[in-house]
Order: sequence, then structure tokens, then C-alpha cells
Amino acid sequence: MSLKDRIIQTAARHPGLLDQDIAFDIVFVMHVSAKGWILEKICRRVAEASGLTYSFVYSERNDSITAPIPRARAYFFAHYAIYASALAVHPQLHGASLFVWFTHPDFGKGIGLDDLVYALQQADLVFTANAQHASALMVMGVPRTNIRTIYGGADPALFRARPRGNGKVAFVGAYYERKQPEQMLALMRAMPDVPFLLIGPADSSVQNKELLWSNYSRFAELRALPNLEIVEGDYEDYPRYFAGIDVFVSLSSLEGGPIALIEAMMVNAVPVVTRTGFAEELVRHGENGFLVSLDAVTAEIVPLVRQALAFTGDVSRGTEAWSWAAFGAGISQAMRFPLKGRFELDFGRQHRAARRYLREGWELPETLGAWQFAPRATLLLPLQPGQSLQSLALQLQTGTIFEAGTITVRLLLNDQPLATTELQIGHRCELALSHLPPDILQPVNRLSIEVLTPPNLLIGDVPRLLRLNHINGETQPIDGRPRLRRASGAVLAVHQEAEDDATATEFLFMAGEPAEDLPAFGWNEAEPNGTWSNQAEASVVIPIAPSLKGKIRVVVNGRVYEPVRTRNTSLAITLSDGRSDATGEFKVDGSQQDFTVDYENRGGRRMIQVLIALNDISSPSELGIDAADRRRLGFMLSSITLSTLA
Amino acid sequence: MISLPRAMKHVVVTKEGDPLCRAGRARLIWAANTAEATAALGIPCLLAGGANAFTYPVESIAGTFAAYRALEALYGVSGQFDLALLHPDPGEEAWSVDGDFRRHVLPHAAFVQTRDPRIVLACVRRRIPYIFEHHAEDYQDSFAPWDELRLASPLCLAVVAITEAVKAQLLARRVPAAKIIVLDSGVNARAALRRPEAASRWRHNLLTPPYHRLAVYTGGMQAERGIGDLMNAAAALPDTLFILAGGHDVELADWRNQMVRHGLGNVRLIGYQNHEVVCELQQAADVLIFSRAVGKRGEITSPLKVFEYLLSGTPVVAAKIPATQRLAGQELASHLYDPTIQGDLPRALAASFKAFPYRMEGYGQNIRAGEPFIWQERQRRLMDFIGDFPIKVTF
Repeated sequence: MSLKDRIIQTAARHPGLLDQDIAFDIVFVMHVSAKGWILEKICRRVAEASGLTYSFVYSERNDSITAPIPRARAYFFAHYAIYASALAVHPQLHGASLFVWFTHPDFGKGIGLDDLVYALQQADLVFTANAQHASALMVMGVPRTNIRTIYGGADPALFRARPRGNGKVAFVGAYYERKQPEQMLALMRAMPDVPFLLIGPADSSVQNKELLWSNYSRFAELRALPNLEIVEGDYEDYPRYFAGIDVFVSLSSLEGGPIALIEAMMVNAVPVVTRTGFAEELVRHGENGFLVSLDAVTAEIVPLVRQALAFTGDVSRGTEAWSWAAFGAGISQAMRFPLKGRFELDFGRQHRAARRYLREGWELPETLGAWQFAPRATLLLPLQPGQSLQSLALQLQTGTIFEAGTITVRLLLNDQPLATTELQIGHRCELALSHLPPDILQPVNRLSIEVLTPPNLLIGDVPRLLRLNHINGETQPIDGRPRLRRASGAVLAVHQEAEDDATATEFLFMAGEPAEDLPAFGWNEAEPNGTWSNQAEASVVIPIAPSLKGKIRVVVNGRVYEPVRTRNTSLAITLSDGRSDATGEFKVDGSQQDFTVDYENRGGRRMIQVLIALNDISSPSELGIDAADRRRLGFMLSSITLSTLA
Repeated sequence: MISLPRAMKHVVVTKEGDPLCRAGRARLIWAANTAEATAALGIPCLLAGGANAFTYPVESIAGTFAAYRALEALYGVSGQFDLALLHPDPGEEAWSVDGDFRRHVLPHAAFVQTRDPRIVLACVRRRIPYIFEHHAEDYQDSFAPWDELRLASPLCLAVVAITEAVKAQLLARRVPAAKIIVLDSGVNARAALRRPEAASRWRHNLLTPPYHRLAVYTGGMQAERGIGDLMNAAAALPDTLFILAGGHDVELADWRNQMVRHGLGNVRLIGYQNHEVVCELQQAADVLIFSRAVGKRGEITSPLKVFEYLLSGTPVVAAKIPATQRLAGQELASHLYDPTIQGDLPRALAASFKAFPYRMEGYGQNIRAGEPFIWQERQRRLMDFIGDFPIKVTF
């Protein structure tokens, strides 16, 4: 089975977690060999700049995460190799936001291109160190909107600009073949009059000892060069070493950065660097450094190094923008998913807004939205720097569980009351806010919906107070003019629309859900994620709410049992009310997805049969997957949702 | 202190078949910390446990390093002891006393410290000295041929009782009083390290409106631990955020249902956390809760968690049970509540908030009161109790 197929299968098993089940805002995941080296440093900087609660997980292997994975709203993978493999193994990752640091394309990690692209398509954001890699990912099929390029970084307080003059040329970094050690050796031999410095990691500073220069097969020759000084130290010592260099040389054949280029430019060391990583984006040839083609021979590099030694300009100007602080702030800002311009967010389970913006007080989202179970529930409204929230509208469905005909709802922004209103139970409502007081807006705002009606008026077991379906609004730049007036309170416009009756329009087939009681044929026992059919044809009869008139859209959510799919199974869904019917045929790829069939309710019927047909089904025992599991498994039905087509 | 011949080790092992480590397993925490404490006393120590703790091969030097890293991450032990990673015999599911343990561990054992009566039996048969720790676990209580353990013989160096109540049980089983030492479980000394940055980060992120106080519970999530009382306290104190760290998925799912049913937005059920995270949360809290449901388990509850709480410096609110009575007479930042009185826990929490406002540096009297209970101190007391004894050097 391909990695992609395993990812699809694993995603279908992800456990739903409430926000209140979660320990960390973000967990950084990396291979244990990254401990103490650049990838960990990048993650530490992001973590510190984020202001979020965070944890680090170090895996002993790349094909899975070997350490316990803490529950988190988001996972940040320091390398895509472990990311792609982990998606195929750990279901819990699929319920969270996923971020990947894409260092550089390296297909020696045993991951095929198709698999990698599919995995990266599942990420909420992929961060690249340079624009070249971002372009490459877009060409490969990763959505442009999910890619961010952020340059970084070094600490300008440690790497301070100073005048050049001692004529020393430095190589910086750990030992890798791609750093072109042969080329470095040749260059130093070709320039015996120039003093060189090689700055590498100390044994104590890296877990992965293969990064030490002593692993280079010609290390003895390197060490014997009379014009080379080798220093191996902790990263904390690097500013001291950098303070003594005039020229920084990188001859690497492949880089994401190199980060040392930024460190060098910050200390005003003139870079001579190969055209890889972000070199071409930071260095303008002849203006603030020199670019070397990847196939350059030593004779071509020597004059560039001599030009760099003779260069008199200040190359440190503007390098503050590449600080670690700016880098960490840039990534952490992106990870908050700030609202931009005119925005619309849906909170159904098939959308990512719930996991990004909903905080305490909400149940797991259903297809149409998430129910509020606590008297006070919160969602985040993050804004970009320099932006203000101009307007906001919330679309809600009130529950029917109160004895009173209305409930009192109060909205608070950052704990300051905005408005209070009465809403009728069992209604669809829109609350439109304007004149949001700008003086209480912050980079991340907490909008709380408070149901003030006493809970002792609740009927039933589970307090389903309101369902948040959708929000929309607009942000605008703060340009100095007071666009928003400080009113006595935010103005709240309320629009309410009654439901015709209490007939549900969404049916869930997980264990414990009421849909278990619907008339049905050909199904196994319900499970936490849905119910498996045990016949090639299985059916269920569902009621149609009178509010659904004319043409109705029926969305069946579920997945086909994976081993069946590999034998070219086709899926057909037929809707029938005895008078009219409609059939949809689908290609199945084993993933959990929506299958949509439109149907004309000509007879105004109140019931409809949904028939799910596969040309073949099997059991895990027959397929040799699990000898003890003799159930026949066809289609895992999770939900059926009905809506009127406009 | 005991001086062992070369290649002879103080062996620490939990129970036949146990993995070397696993999240949230109390007796595995006991083993790792006991081994660490023994090594810190200068006694060569070997910790034995199942290699099935790992989902990847550990039969190499690199794998051993990985095992040490796992122990450090999970339990906060730095691994100054040797490891024996045990495998099941062909056809078996877990390692056995007569398999890898007999072949690879016992030949190096100067003596064995264990909680498993079956391992004690193996020592008796081979005339290897042993320390038996009785923690009133079900498999210990249900062990039948108790007399065969020969707890009165010179081979038995000591019998550790986890509480006075357990000592009484042992005496009733005719174990000589001179062999019994009552030792509470210990606390990892790293809990005392101050973590101001991490604590501030937690408070900054968790104490958003409407929450003004942070109440933290760390530990198991069985009903007997009074989790229901915690839920009721959360309902009574809506401006306090309750963080419950611990428990397994099934237990957590049950409590989550209750949380939703009661409309509690101020409860977080964050599951098992690594030792470091637990320490951070404990230092971030306004109060730490040691709850217990009404019932007989309270009689044999170890006060381990109380000591860990004390070492964090954070004020403690604890259920009134035998294990926590010792808090009463001391000038500690603590309150007791009566689990038999409904509403007494929120009352005690409110009193604690009023009397002991949050201090980043912690309450010194609590920290000092927790210090005598670190694992190393526990093990030193045990070794002093045993005194010198002859070591058998052939096997």
C-alpha cells in the first residue's frame, strides 16, 4: 500500500478531541538527531516568539513518532520526511492544524514525489526558507495559499556589524557531502596566501555525530593545511568566531538557507555563495556579495573570493529584517490564521475553521457547525498587525432544550460586553455587529458567547445551547483615521428565522447517536466513527423536514473499506421515496469524503430511502488482515445531511 | 553504605512482564526513580524491564541510548544506571522470570528490589537476597503461596510497606516487624527546580477572561480519586480554570461526557503529560488539588502526590485522609477538605485562594517540607535499614 493510501486510511481513524481535551497550542516534532542543531534552533525560536503553550517531541525514527504525542491544536514538523511518514501512522495528527518546515528538496528519504505532495497538501501551512523552494512546491501541486516563505535568521544582538580588515575567509557549518568539502579543500590550496577559518559544531553540541568534520575522509589533509584554522564550538561561541572574519564562503550544492549567510552578513562579512537556498534572494551580485554558479570550478571561485576581500561596501545594511525574532514572529503570526479583508468561516466538521478558531465551550463540530455546551463559549478572532475588525456577523441555530421560549445571549469581546439580545429557541439567527470598539481590539481577540438563561431551565441530558454555523466580517487597515466610532456599545442587528418543525436535517451514524434508531437494513453495530454496512446493498430510511422543499441535496459522508477499494469497487448511492428517485455513482479512493446526490421531492414525501450499493464487499478475516474479525465491511456511513437546493 | 563486587548489581525490577517504561504507570515510575536514587548513592544498579516498551528495535547501543532518552523524557531520570531490556521467550507475549530475567539479570544480581512476589520466589529458589516492596496492588494482594516468600528468612533484607495500613496487613501475614520498614513513595528531586518562564507561559495562556485562578490536579483519573468532586468544584467556581492532567483515554472519555453534560467550560482534561510538563503546570497553578473520593481506598493511599505537590511550592488543597493528616500540624500553605461533606472542596479552594496568593517563587515552607521525601532520601533510608550483609558472588 502506498504512503498516500496509508495516510488516507489513518486520517479516517482520527479521534475527535474537544478543545478542552488539548494540552498545548503547538507541539514541535523532530528526529532526535536534530537536537542541538539548526532545525531545533528554528523551532525554539518559533516557539519562543509565538507566546503559545508548546512542547517538543523527539522521535527516534523517521517512519513514525516514537515518543508519546501530546494532544495539541497544532503540530509543527521540523522536517517533511518525518511529517509524511507520521501522517500515515498517527491518527491524532489529522484532527489538528499541521505545519511543516520545508528545509530543502531531498528525495533520498525514501518518500516518493506523489506521496510527498499528497502529504504536503494535507498541511495547513508549509514554510519554506526561500522563494525557489516555494515555487517548486507550487509546481509540484502544493496549493499556493498554503505556502509561506520567511527568511531567517540570526540574532543581531549577537552578530554585530563591525569593520573588516584582517583578511580572514571562513567556511561555516557541519560536515555534509553537499557542503562540497573537496571544492573547499581545492579552494584553500589554490589560495595559500589567504588565511581560512572552518567553523564547525563541537562534539558536545550535536546528537548526530555524523555532522562532525572528523567524519570527512580527507580530514587529515584538511587539518594539515597551513592556511586553515579549524574551530569546533557550541553555537553560543559562533559570534566570537564570526567577529574575526572578512569573507564568508559557502560552496554547498544544496541549501535551504544557509543560515550562516545571514549571520555573516550581519557581522559585515562579504558573502561568496553558491546559487542555492535563499542566496540569490538575499545577495545581489557585486552589490552586497558575490554569487557562484553551482558548477563553478576552483579557478572561477578564486577571483570572486579576492574581489570579496577587496570589497569596501557595508553588507550588513537591512539584515535586521532577517532576525530570529522577525522570523519567529512571522511564522507564529501565520500559524494563528489572522482574518484578512472580507472573511467567511464555516464551522462544520469538514472545514478547518473549528480547529483553528474555536476554544472552550464547544462540542465537536457536526456537518453544519459546532454546538455550544457551556454557558460561555469562546472563539478567537486573530488580526494581522495594523488591521482592525470593521464588522462581524454570526449565524447561529438556537437549541430547543429550554423550557422558556427565548434565551438571553450576551456577546463579549476580550471580556468586555458588546451587546445582549433575546433569541427564540429553535430558530436560525444572525447577529450582526458593527461599531466594534477599536480600543479593545488586540492581535488575538476572544469573542465569547454567553447564554444567560439559567441552566436549570434546561431539558434533557446534553446542553446544546447554540450551534455556531458561520461567521463573516471585514477587517480594514488602521490608517490613523477613526473609522469606527466608540458607540455606547456595539450595535447588534438580529435576524431570526423559525424552523418549521424539529425534524433534523443531519443524521449521524456514530455509536450513541439517535440515527441508530432509524429503519435500516444491512448494517453492523455502530462504532465511534460511524457504521459499517455488512451487505453489498445496505439501506436506511430517513425523515425529511417539511422545511426542505423542492430540490433537495443529500450529502452522504463516509468511506469505503480500504481493501475493497483496491479491487476496483464502485459505489452507487440511490435515493428513493417510492415516486421519484436519483442515483449518484462515484469513484472511491478510500478517504472519508462527502458523496453528494441531488433529488427532486416531487411528491412532497416525508421519508426517503438511501441505498448504498457496492459491487463487492469483504471481511478482514477473508483478506488475511485480521483472522478474528469475520465482519463483512463495505461502506462506513458517518452522516447524511439534507438541505434545500437554492 | 553497601559496597558491591565488580559486575554485581543492585537489581530493580517491577513485575514480571512489565515494560521498561510507559506513560503514567506508577510502578514503572517507582522502578526508574529507585534505580536512579540507588545509583546516586554510589551503588551500581541495574534496572530491568521489557523491551516491548518500544515500538522500534533497541537491541543495539543506539537503541539503549534511545531507551535512556525515553526514561528521561517520561520520568525525568538521567539514567546513571545500567539497563537490562528483556524479551519474551519464543511463543510468549511478555518476558518471564524464568526466561530472559533468569538468564541475563539474576547472574548479575547482588540483590533484587522488586514489587513482584513471583520474582521474590525466583530469588528464594536461587538464594539471592531481596527486598520486597508491598504497595497493596491487586496482584500482590491476590498472591497465594505467601509463606513461600520466606519474608522472615535472612535472604529477605527488608519488606517495604507503603503505608502503616499495609504494614498492619504484613504483620497479620506473620512478617516479623523487624523486617518491615514503612516508606512512602518518593518524589523526583527535579520537581524542586524552579521553572518561572514555563510557569509564566502557562498562566499567560490559560488565565484568559473569565478565569482568574488556576487549579491543577495531576494523577490518575479513576473515580476513587475524587474526580467527580473536582467536577462539582468546577461548577461552583466558574472563574477558576481546572486543569486535570493524567488518565487513560477510556477514563478521559467518560469524564469528558460528564464535563459536557454539566456544561463545564472551565475544565481541561489534558491527559498524561511528561514529568517536565507536570512540574511546569504544578508551578503555574494557584492551587494543587489532592482529591479522594469517600471510600476505603483512602486508607491505603500513598501521600506521594502530596510530596510532589509540596516540592513545587504551590499551595495544596487535600482530602482529609490518613496520608494527608501530617499536613495538618505544620505551617504549610495548605488546606484540608472533608470529602464526605458536599461543597467542602470549593470552600477549601476559595479559602486557599484568599490565604495564599500566587507566588512565582513558590511557598518556601512547602518546598522545605517536601525535600525529605525525594527518592534518593527514601533509598538512603532503606539502605540504612538493611545495613551491611554478605553478598553471594557465585551463581
